[in-house]
Amino acid sequence: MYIYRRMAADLTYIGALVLHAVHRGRRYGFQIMEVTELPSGTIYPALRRLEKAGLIRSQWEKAAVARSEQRPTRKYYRVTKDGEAALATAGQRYRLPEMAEPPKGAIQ
Amino acid sequence: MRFVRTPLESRALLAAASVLVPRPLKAEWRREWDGEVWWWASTQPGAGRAPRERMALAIHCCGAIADALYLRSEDAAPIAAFRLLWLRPSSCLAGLVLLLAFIGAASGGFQHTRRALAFYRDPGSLAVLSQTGPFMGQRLGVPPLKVVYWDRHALTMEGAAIYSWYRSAVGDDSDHTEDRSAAKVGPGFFTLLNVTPQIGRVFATDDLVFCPNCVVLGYDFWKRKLGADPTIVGRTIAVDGHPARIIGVLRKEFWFLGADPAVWSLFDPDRTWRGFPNVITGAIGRLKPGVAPPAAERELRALAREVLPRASGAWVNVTPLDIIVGRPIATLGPAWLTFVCIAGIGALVVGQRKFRRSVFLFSKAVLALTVVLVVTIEFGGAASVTKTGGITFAAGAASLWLFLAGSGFVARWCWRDQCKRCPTCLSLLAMPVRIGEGARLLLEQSGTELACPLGHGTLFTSEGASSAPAYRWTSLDVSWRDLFVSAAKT
Repeated sequence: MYIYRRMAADLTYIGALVLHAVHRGRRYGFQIMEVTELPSGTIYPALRRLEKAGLIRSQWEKAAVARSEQRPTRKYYRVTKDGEAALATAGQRYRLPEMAEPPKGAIQ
Repeated sequence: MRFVRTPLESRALLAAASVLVPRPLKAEWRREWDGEVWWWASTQPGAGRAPRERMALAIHCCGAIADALYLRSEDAAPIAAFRLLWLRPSSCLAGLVLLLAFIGAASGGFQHTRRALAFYRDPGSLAVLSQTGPFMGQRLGVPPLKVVYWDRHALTMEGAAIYSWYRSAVGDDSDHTEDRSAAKVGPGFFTLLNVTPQIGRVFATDDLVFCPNCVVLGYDFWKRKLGADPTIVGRTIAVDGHPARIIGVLRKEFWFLGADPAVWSLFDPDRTWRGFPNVITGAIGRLKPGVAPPAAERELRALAREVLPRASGAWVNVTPLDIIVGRPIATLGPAWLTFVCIAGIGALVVGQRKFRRSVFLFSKAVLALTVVLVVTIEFGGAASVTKTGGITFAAGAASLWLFLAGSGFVARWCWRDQCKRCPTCLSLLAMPVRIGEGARLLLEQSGTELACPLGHGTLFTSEGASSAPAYRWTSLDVSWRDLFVSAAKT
């Protein structure tokens, strides 16, 4: 737990940006890439790091939902309470860009 | 599910990346990436089939490799295994062997060591001519005028020639040059050495008059930069911004005192010396049969007084080439052998009749001393020739001091390394814990307790000690072993 807290305190700008994107409703890698304009080689390791630090949590969507939409199942990320606290701290250190909520009709 | 075919190159990238992912995570990782790629392809106007889209997807899939590498780096098991392996005594010896191999590769396969005994047909009669200054015996270059005078008038010598190393801009034309090692030599230099070229010819005595801009190429430069072109003779290249006509290429095996110049040009004492005021010239001569070096020294000194009376204080040295060439082995070899013998005695004493401990300490010391010896021979003299304008390579005073200092460092490192190893398994002790107030000196272990990664015991280094810390080893029984091994892995 101590390590996780330290990681939250040492959040880099990239980590904070990805966390901010997830917090603003971008729930999987490609959506986060679109909004942050960061390459995949940066986004996915950042997601793993944030998840390991307990700042986000991942969950596979139900197979039935994916089947009904005729697409593969997708892994969704969401911010935890620790992540929200870390994001608030990071917001004081970094100037994070404004991000609108994703449009309702967008593929989720 | 709608079928979207992922392009071949992207699938290949994902497959290659998945090899790096730790096995327990592999299936889930692949599922996530397949889902992402599917989404990307299905939302593109041309379903990801257009060349630009395929390129973009391939770049995206390159990120999978970074992602896989991250997951691999997070996987603790191989790292822990590597850490334990790193602490083993065999790793120390393997590291030294690898270092030797690296030095061998960096020096072109121990080039100087191999060449030290090669090429010269009759090195006994060839001698390097140099001067020693009257003040503290410092070595001096030889003024070109003296060498020319010796060449014409010395009765004890068949001839003498100038040589000097410098850096030159060499290229096809003056706009496309590169910085290369080069040499300027007197017209009789190659004749004195009995050199026969690979193609073309070497310098002749009258080239200073009829062909002052002629150059001879080194074999490596000819082969690597000019593609070993057999018709190269007669063509023109740019040397220091001036056109130079190629008259020949030297043989592969030709080598002179450690230098390997790309271009050899003529040293004209009347013109070149003014253009290169900082060049230190060396000189080479061939003694007449039956003439001993001291007799030649006496004559050359007398002749030097005639040509430059003001600089008559310098002492002329005539050193046979075979002595200079064999000097690295003759000087550093016995020193290396002496240190190896001392290491052998030390290993027997420190090893306290434990065969494995003694063998390890001795092997470590021999390998480390060999590293120092090879570095001194391969790079010490080369640095002297290229950086300080020295006229011979290796085993000068600087090389000897470098070897002695290096050997001192090796002795200290071997002893300190041995102190930080478990007496039972010889593994490097790990998991340092500071106890009390240590001396807090840079890189010192005082006030620290270290443990054997295999649980054989702990080593305590006394507090406050600096120059000669006291070590106290505490053996542990078998019951501690599992605990230490699991701790060392984390």
